[in-house]
Amino acid sequence: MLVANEVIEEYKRKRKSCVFFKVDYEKAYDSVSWDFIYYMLRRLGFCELWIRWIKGCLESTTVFVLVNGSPTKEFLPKKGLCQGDPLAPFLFLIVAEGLAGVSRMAEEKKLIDSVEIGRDKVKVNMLQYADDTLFFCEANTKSIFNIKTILQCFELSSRLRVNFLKSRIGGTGVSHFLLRSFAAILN
Amino acid sequence: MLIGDFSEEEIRAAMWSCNSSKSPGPDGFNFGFIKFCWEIIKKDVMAAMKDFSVSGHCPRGTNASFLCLIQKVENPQQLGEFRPISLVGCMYKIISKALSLRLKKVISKVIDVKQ
Repeated sequence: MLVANEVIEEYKRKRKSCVFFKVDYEKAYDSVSWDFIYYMLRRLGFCELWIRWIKGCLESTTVFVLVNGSPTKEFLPKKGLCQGDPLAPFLFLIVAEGLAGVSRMAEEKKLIDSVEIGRDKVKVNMLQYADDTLFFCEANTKSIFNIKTILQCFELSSRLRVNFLKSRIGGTGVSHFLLRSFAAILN
Repeated sequence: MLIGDFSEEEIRAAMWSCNSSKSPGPDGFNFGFIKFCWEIIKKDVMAAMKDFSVSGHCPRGTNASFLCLIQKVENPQQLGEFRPISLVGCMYKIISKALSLRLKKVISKVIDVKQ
């Protein structure tokens, strides 16, 4: 959050324009695909034994729903993480790293014009904190369009759907009209 | 470090980092009990951990959980106004806590600083 504030302050001061887009995932924890978690673990270099352990943890879950204190018949979930499981936040971080990887790649290939902050011109195009994600980019249609594409691809692979109703877009030094058109592209 | 057998200290650390008085899962035990009787049951717990680390899956029942619906608003009328919280059993919690403690050590190396 601190970094986000800094970016916005600096851009306001320099009177440059930037757009930020806050992503809200629809039922983030409940909809993560397990296959994507295994894939990410493999990509991050975890060994097969670890993946088997995680698999064992996830796939052995059985759930009873407590209604007014009495449990219903059990069912077996096929995706998603349980809120209350100590492993869940870490696995979610690993999933989110997938998105971070894509956005880094987009930065390298100049698909998103990231914002630059500080004297060292540190490039930032995305900040993540648990299941909150904030994209930054310069105000041009190309970047917005590519963010949209990235989010769509990420949805297809990880099953994390963006809830556009709850997502927010904002900008400094950008006209209201332009922001509207960006929002229309994203949605 | 990541794939070695689970040591007793590790399990102990995992257990003691869990809150003693959380609502129990389907097995009906909370951590207060397990910590209190640790000396008695530690052999069985260690055997279960060993079994898990070799076979890689939890026996049926250890990973059952109660899905408790907690209301987000005063008078909920739709399912969307509930927040599902799962109450997991003790044994699974120990396993998953031990794994997450190991994961914690390496996570900073694999995850982007921007997160």
